[in-house]
Amino acid sequence: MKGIKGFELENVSRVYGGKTVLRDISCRIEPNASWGILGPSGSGKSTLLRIMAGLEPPDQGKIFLDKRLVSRDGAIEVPASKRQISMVFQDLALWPNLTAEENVRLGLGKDKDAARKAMESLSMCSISHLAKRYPAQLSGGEQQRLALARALAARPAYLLLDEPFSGLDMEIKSNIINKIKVLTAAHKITTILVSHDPFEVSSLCRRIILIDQGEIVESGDFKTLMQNSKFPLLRAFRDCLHSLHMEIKG
Amino acid sequence: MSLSALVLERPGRWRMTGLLSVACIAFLPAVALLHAAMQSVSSDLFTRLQGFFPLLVKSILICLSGAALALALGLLAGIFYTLYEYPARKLFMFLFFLPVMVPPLLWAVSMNSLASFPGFTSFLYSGRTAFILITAMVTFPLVAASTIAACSGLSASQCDAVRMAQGESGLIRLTARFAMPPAAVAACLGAFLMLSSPGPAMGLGIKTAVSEILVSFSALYDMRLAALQCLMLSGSTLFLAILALTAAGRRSMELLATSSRPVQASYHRSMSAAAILFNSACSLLLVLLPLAGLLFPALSRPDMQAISTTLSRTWGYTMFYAAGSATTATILGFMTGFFMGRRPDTRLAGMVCLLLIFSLPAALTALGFVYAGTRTPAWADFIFRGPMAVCLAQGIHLFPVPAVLAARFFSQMPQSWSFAAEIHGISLGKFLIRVLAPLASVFIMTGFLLALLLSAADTGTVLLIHPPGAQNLPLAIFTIMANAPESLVAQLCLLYLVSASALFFLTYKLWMNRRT
Repeated sequence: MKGIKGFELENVSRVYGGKTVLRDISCRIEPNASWGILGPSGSGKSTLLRIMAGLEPPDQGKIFLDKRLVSRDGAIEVPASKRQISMVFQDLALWPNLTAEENVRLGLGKDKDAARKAMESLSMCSISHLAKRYPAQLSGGEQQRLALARALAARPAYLLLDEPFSGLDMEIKSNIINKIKVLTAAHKITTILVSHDPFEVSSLCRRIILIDQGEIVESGDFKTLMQNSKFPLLRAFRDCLHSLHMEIKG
Repeated sequence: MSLSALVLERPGRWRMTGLLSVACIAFLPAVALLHAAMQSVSSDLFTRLQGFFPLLVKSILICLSGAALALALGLLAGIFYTLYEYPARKLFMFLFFLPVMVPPLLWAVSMNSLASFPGFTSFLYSGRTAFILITAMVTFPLVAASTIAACSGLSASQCDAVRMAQGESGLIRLTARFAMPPAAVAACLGAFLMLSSPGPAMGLGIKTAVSEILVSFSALYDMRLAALQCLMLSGSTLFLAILALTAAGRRSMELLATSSRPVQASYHRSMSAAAILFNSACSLLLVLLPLAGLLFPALSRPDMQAISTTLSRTWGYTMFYAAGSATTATILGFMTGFFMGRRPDTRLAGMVCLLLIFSLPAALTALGFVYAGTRTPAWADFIFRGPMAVCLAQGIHLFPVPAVLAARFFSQMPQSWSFAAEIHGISLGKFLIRVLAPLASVFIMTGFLLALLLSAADTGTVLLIHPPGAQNLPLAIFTIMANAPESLVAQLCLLYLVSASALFFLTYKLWMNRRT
């Protein structure tokens, strides 16, 4: 048993085919907040999220979730389905042969109230009128909402988002991010967003972990890091915002 | 406790063990035959084998000539199909696939009929030239299909970049270089198919390696000589297959799925016109004229009684052999695809194994069954001596076809599907039943129907191991060819062709309408 609620990672490492993808990652992710894991492509952030979700084990290190040891040294102690987490994947992982409602219902398992919960979740995401459609019959934004509805239907304590907004235009992206903010706040869900885009992270997350080449570079409050961080991604974002601000000011 | 859906994404020794088990099943008959042949090596046998060697070399050369012709034409046809939009584009492709869906023996019947016309056709459609043409007819669609599959690895933007720099001719050159390795492998496979098919050679009256094996087995009753000849044939095909595989290297993986956005066919005035001309010429030479060779003799008044007698005698076994072989091939194929998964090492090992199995002559497996039938106890007769033996031998020979489709399915399936199932606590069984099985059903059905068509068209295996009186239609045509009127043979061939075309059309529609 460990002392805090939320995720606690201790010296987590992961190696793929001789290449170290994560090296000695140690951090704490407290609940009831929105967290962002920001880093360039190939920095190991998606691997970290999958390990936290219990989809793959760490080669070394320990992971605690709500004071329970859930993964350690090459083994998954508590399977993903027992961790009270949900996940929205980069490719959304919608099963193409099932309707929107069936996609949500299948994720609810043997719950007697599955049908009601599924419809409720679809309504929350404003797509209940599309319940009988197949994923291929939905637009990009609607598919995103469906993936979110499926993730929220199980009433998770943690919502993991693995770069789910890539490929969406700015307007749809903003709408979905707002929806996530409202819903996770209402249901007290801790959000962990993995992204390479500081805009997405800044829109959704209060606290961030900066990761590069499999190691945590910095972590803390987003506003503070925005002002002081030397992390290239954040610096570029800051410069961009600054020039845009100057441009608008004339 | 239920199994997790994550099993599908996990590596592990069980995948390689599974692949090895399937390979053992596939190679077991050949190993049994090798065992038989090794027991019978004598100086007399070597003398008789010396006569077989030049025949083997001649057969290989003839088949490779046909394959080279098919490679030249099929590569271009596949490139035209991928890059350009032109009228009747799909119809042309459908026509090109007809020859491979019927027994090559039927084309020998057609060539004999065309050879009786005076002039150019009598030269083109007789003897070795006819055999080369039949090889090209059968190999052409395989080459075109693998070219199209390989070209799906090219992205639209790559093609646009070459178009801007070097124009259309540059684009065709680049695409040809890109698609050449898998196309060459397909050409070799076509050559191996013909090398192990006795029908056309016997129909055309020329001696080839496989026809000699049949003579050793059926006329001389020398099982050991036939086994050694078969092994020599297999050794040559394996050698050529390894050469082709080495040349193609990892590029043969292009036959499997790729994740890049495929290039879209577009209309280009001069290239589309060239494509129509080229396709018309190919279909005339490789499909329409041979079809005419069947059609003209069939135009005379049909002998309904003879046709119905032959059909009623053979349709049951034709269906039984075809369905049994297709079921065996589909089960083995999907097991192989499942074991291959998405890991590069298992995919490569699987593809090499499949190409090797497909390149082995069907007669090798069939003779392996015959040999096993003489050694096994009576209770095993239903496996090694009855109609079931035909199904198993053909299924083992043809399972690489559904296996490639299965491998494509399992490698295309996004990893995140299993991850999502795991996160939501969906068990492996439920995930397989609710998600994977419905999505795989089109792949399973397509694999089954293709194996059904190919096994129904086979004469070699049936000829070697069918129980007395249990002939299928192609074998019945083969048997009556020499004595029955030409019109009756042609009418039976046409009947077969129409049924096979309808089945092929159904397969094509099923594949095109899949929802993935």
